[in-house]
This record gives sequence, C-alpha cells and structure tokens, in this order.
Amino acid sequence: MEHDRLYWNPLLETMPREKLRDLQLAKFQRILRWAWANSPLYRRLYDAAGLVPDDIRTWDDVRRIPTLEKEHYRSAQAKDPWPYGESLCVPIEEVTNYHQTSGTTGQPVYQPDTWRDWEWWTECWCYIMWAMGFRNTDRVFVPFGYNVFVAYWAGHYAAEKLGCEVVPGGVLNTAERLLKMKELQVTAFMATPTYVLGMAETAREKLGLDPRGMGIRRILCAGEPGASVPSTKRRMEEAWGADVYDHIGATEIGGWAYECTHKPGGTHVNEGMFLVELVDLETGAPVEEPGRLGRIVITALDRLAQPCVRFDSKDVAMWADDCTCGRTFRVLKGGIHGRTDHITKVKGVLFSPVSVEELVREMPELGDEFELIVQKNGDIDEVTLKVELQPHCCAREADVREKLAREFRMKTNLNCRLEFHPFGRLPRYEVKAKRFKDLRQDH
Amino acid sequence: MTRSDDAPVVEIILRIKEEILKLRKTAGHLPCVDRNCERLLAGVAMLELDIVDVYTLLQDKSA
Repeated sequence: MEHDRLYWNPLLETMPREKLRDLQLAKFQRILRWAWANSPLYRRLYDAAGLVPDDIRTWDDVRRIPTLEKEHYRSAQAKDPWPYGESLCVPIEEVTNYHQTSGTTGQPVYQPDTWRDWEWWTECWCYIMWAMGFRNTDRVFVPFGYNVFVAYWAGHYAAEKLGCEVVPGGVLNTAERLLKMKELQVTAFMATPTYVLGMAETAREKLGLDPRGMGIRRILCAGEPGASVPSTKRRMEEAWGADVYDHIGATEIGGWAYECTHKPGGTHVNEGMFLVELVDLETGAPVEEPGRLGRIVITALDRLAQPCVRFDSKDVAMWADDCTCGRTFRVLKGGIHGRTDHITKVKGVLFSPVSVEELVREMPELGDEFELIVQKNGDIDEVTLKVELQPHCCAREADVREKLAREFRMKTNLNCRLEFHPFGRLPRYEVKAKRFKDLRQDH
Repeated sequence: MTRSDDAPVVEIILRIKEEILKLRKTAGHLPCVDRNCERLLAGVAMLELDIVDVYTLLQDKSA
C-alpha cells in the first residue's frame, strides 16, 4: 500500500509501456473523432488533408494528421460564436470558465472550459502536485495575481482537492506576501523561477528575512524552464532551503508534465492524459531515442470544449532515460530546452538562450537577473549580455568579466558584448520573464 | 488496486454515474439538483478517465 501512496494513480502511472501506448492510441482516436465531429476548425483542417477519423488506426496514421498552431485558434476564434468561434466543441452555455494565453507570442488565445474540463485541469494538477509530495499536511501559498491568465488557478484547485490548506496571495505585493507566508507558517508555494528568486531577494534585501528560516519545504515552479536548469534550480533550493520541482503546462494544452520527488533531472510526461510526440527540428521525423532535441507536438487526450489535437507547441525538448521512481511515464531531460522561435542562428551558429541562463546562474558572483539581446551592428549579428554583479563582488568585476566572456564563448561558440549593471537595476518580473530580445529585422 | 480489482471498481463508478443521471432526470427541474449533479458528473468523469478508460478502452483493443 505504501508503494501506491507514491502515485496519484498507480494504474496509469506504472502501466506497462505497451499497454500505455495502446491506451493512448485508443484515446487519441476518441478525441480525434470528437474534434472532427464538433469543431469546424478541425473538420476543415482534416478535410483539406483528405482524412477522416476512421482512417487513423496506427501510429503511422497519427503522424499523417496535420499539426495545429496557435494561429489556427486565433483565426477560428475570429468567427462566430464570439469569443471562441469555430474552435468551440460544446454549446456555449456549457462553458463555465474563461482563461486566455499570456500573449507572449501575439494576440492571446481564448480558452473555454466546461465544468468537466475544469475538473480535468484540476485532476491533471493533482498528478503534478502529488508527485512532488504535496499532501494534506501542507499549507500552500499562491503568490499570484489571479486573473484571466490560467497560471496557478488549477494549482489552487488541485491543492484543495489534495486536502492542502490553500492561501490565496492575490493582490498583495511581494513584501506583503512574504510577511503573510511567515505569519501563517506556510510549507509550500508555487511561482515562476524568476519570481521564486525575486521573492528570496526581497525577503533578504527589503525585509531582512532569511528565506531559509521560513519553513518552506517545497516549491512548485511553472511558466519558465528554470526549475529544470540545474544552476537555476540550485539557486532556488539554496535560497529557500526547500525542494524545488518543475512542471510544464500551457493554457491551450493543460498541465502535462511534472518532476517527481526522485528528481530525475527532468519532467515526467503525463502520458495517461496527454500524447507527446517529439519530432525532428528540420525533417519532422519522430524522435524516439533519448538525448536528441525535437519539437513537441502534443495532444490533450481528454479535453473537450476546445480540443488540442497535435498542437505544435514550438517548444523544444529531448527524451531522457527512465526514472527510478517506478513511473513508466517517459521523462523529458531538462524539461523545456527553449522554443523554436527563440532558438535562432547568430552568425550562422545555432543559439539557444536557455544555455545562457544556465551559464549566468552557475556563477555565484552574478545576481539572478540577466538580459540577452541579439541585434545587427551594420551587417553583423551582435549579442549583448547584461548582468548584475552581487554587491559584495564589485571589486572583482574584471575577473568575473573575463570568466563570463570565456564561458559564454565555450558554451555558445559566439563572442558577446558584456554589460555589467549595478545590483537591482535590471528589470524584475512576477510572472514570465522576457530576458531574450532578438531585435534583428530580417534574420 | 490490482488488475483483478478493476472490474468491480469500474462497475461501481458506472453505477454511480447512472444514479446521478437518474437523479437529474427525476429532480433536475430543481436548480439545486441540476447544478450539483453537473458537478458530481464532472467528478465521476475524472474517475472514468483515471480508472474506467483503462479497463474499457484496453478491453476494446484486445477484443
């Protein structure tokens, strides 16, 4: 029985791979039939490809199905009925929850959920939080400005469902949140890696509080890849004296991957609820072996109001070896490695901004914040890295500069212009940080 | 739960669903019954995804 307590649902989480794949295929066929029958968006997409659901019988058939992009949702939502248009698969009076994407890559996508879909969001998050060790003995603080963006809403409801005591930290500012967390002796919270580090800084610099003494046992991260970037994870765990876990999700997809307490250096895909395909960045061929980067194409197998079938998330990841926790759900090594629209060529060299995060956070002389800018200087691409020196390291700027330039060159095969800013001067973010800016017009 | 336990558990879940649907049909004209049944059904739907699907979809597959 103790074994069972490790898993939210051992039936799915430890299912033999062959059966799991059979189940996924059956569920895929079911959601495909649903989307095709109920959404003009999907019907048109598949009609254009000459496909009907009954054609899809094998995994090779699955790969013939056209992928969906955010732009498909946006153009379908420009039609009636407002605001979900032709992507909606249920009568609009059955929609009980509105959220929208963060708008990081353009016009936000509107996300309708029925009560059943909302329960499904919560259930997906129960898998996530249970695997991270959240239990009914936790008092969980949610330091998030609850609003139209979906982030942490499902975390709030899942924590309730697990029996945790949930403290909503909505409109409080960072210092007020920290004081409330201390007052209530909360044991866990959830935030973006950027904000986890920012809160620790505010505690130390503005409140004279040592976050390590606040009794936090676990922190759930979402929204950015940082909790799977080893140096960033280490910074957060050291700052708070707590275990930090990564989770991956998106508004139009759901909460689909999670790190377990065995910390395998990545995140398990919830393969009972989602189908994740990795495809070669250039050829689109399936990537099955560990250690090779691929683009994520994902299907939410049970989401009904606005289905998400073979969605091209633009995220890049790689499979890892199996985890020791006993789950048969595959692991994505290092979580998300970046986005295809961020991985770019600079001076002909493939450049991933996430690798720079790892580099900056590995250097203890540097603050948590940085900014990375690619722009043209004449005809030549130029990379600028802005960093902050820790206040007690100012006398060592020359050494740090030399080391950082060297490490940057080794990591990226590129030179960069370094800018050192006084501690606290670079922008701080509460939700998703925007540290990478590609200002080239015609690359 | 082991595989041999699946069948009775699946039966119970499906029976609960049936009972809620029956309740809704009988007293769904009362808003308090209708909306609470809606929520109960959403909860049962999660048990279907977690448990029943595993049994029924894989059974269909092997049939």
